[in-house]
Amino acid sequence: MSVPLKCVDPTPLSNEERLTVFKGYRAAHRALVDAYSRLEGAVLTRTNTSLLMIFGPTGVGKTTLVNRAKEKLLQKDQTLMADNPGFIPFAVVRAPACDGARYPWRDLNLRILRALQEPHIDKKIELDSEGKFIAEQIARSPRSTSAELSTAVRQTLRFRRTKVLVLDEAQHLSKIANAKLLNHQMEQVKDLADETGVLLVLSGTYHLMKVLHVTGQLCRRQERIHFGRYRAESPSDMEEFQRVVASLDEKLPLPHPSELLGHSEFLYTGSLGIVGVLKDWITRALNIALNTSAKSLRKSLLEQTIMEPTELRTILTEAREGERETYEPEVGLQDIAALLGIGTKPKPTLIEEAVSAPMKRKPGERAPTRDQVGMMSAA
Amino acid sequence: MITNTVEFWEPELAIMPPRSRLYQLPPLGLGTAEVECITSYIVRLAHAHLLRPSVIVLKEIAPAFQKQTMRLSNGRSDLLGSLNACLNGQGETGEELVSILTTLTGARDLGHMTLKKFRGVVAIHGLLRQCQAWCPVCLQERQNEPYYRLIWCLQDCEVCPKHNVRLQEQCPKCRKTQKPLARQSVIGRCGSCDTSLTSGTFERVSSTAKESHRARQIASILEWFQTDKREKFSSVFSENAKLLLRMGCQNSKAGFARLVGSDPDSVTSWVDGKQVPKLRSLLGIADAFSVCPLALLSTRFDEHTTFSLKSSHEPRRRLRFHDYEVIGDRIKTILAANEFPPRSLARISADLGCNQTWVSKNCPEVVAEVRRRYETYISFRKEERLQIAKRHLSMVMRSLHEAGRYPSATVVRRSLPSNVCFAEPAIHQAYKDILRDLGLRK
Repeated sequence: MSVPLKCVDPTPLSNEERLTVFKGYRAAHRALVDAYSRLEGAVLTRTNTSLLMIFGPTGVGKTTLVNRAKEKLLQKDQTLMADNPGFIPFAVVRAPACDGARYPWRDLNLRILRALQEPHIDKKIELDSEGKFIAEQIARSPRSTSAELSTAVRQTLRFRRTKVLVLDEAQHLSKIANAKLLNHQMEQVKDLADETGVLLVLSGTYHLMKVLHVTGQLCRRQERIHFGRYRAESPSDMEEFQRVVASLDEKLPLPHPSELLGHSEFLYTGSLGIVGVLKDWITRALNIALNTSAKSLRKSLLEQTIMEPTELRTILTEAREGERETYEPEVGLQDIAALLGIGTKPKPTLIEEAVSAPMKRKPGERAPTRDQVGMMSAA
Repeated sequence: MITNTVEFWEPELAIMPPRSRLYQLPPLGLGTAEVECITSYIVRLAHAHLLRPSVIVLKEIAPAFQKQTMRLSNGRSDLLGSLNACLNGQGETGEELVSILTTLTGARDLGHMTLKKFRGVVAIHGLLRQCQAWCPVCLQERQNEPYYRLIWCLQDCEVCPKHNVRLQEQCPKCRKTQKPLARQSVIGRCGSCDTSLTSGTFERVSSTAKESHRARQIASILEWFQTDKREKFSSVFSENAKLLLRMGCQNSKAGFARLVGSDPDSVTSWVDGKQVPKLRSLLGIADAFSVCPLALLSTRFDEHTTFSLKSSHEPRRRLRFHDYEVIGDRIKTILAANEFPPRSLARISADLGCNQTWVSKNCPEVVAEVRRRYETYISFRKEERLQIAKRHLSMVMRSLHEAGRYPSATVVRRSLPSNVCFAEPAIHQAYKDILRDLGLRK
């Protein structure tokens, strides 16, 4: 049976170019679109929210989400940027990993300053309210603290008029050995957002949920976006996943159709329902297919390029833990109502407690129970 | 069966265009007489970046200049040195600085923070102050964001036009002057002792005083230039000056010069259009003829223009008339006295209170005798001095020779008194002759 050839782009592209084009495709699947619509609302129309947290399993597309929001904001602010060449509305910074008891705020502040194209970071000085110099070359001095660099960050955010600052891989903020410092850490994060008026977006894995409920103030000013995977338990999720598979299949730059839908279960297993992992997997397989001049993407190529089961298990375990916390939280609304005393039996007053309390007997007074009869002693 | 597919987002909706290296700080006081000067803007820009002004100047601004001395490798720059004061002026340095700052910050209208518009309108000479001046009250009013005004850079502005306070140029504590742009400038603080420049006492001037009136006039000129949209302003001062000279002073340049406090040569150059007036002269003309200084520059006067001539307070200089016969007799008396040493012609003319050139022209015979006598005395003195020097030289050389040391030129030069110049040809020839006498030279 002859297999109909796919309509191939007549423009002759090299294998690398085809791969690059395929990598550039961004499937607008349901979860991504939902998450994006919420993020776009927060970014473009500023509300009281100063902190926005995006969490989900690794590879789900958080960075894609953030980049899309950045492009949208840049598009909206084109005129403003042309009028003010110093204006940087959006900045993305990768949060450094924590390698000790204390989080490396100094490193994070330096990354923020570089992202905002701040010149001469090693020559910053501290000024007091009167404009007098009180500390010299804070970034270069080994004794300079992160607090002094943070002044430079606040100043830069103010003058660059930055609207949104994204900390990618923000789960590192929560991974400090000393849990008591977590509270203090998140206070610093909140202060940064409050003082500068910037919308701070923390994007990371489910570990980020640790910082969600640290303080009451943090809870009030935050908004969260759960960007999860497609779960097998939900038929609609599976349907959407299959739509993504079909869409990616159509975009494959190979002469013959690959019929990926036929392997949708296998693809789901190997990607855990995470679209980013799926796309990376298909890209790896496509790379081999292009280099070997394969006509289509066969299952054998997919088997060859699937992630290790141990890696998949690690990702799945983390994802499941996060989903459990998200979909089955420890605290529900009824618990809150109970704490507030709404809809439960009222607590008795002291008199009622005294009346209902058991009577106490005097010492030596026998308990009023029946004595046994017919068993008299011989004496 | 899945029949539909998901859409794909189009790639890269927008990218971040190149951003300016420094913040786009808006200039303060733009469009008014209280506009900020460019050196103050640089200091504010540095502080916004939490940097010292020297870092911004040496690392960002100076490398972009064409002139080599702006960007020396030893950490020095004319921007912080000799060209410091002229950055706010009307010259090419200020213009290039504005262009560089516009590129670095993306800010517009930075040219209004210099005196660029004054080019071709008033003379450069004496326009700018060489040090920073300030009004303590103005700085106090804007404590949260102080800045130095451009009007304070003008030499002729001695009083703040807003508060009638005499402008300060020295720190109230250490009495040192402040540079317009220094390595560690902080606006409102002394660069040496870090004292606040708003402390100390200051003098208030009456609003009717001449300095206050002049300051207000300068402020009005500056404000007008701020709002004028033309890139280059063409002044009609020359035509107006010619008209005022004709109608007000009957073409008497000396009279015009007396009226405005200048000199006839300057008036000639103004009227001919070869030179532009100094700011002070321009204001003087405006005062003398009771016209607005702006009108002098921008509005073409005609015969119907009304002006009133103020009477000149400066008395006409009395011309001294010398009777040359009397002067000649007096010189002859001096010659007959045969005084020693004889006086030179310049000295005699000064003593008689008359001009040497005039005496030479009108009394040639006695002047020739005076000159001959004085020149004879001078040559005698020269010869006498030479003989004394030779005696010193001979004494030194012979004593060295007797001590067994060779009288080399170096040793002899060191041993001679300071008033004897060894390099003089006669002395050097005498040195050789003495060497020959001592048998040390063939």
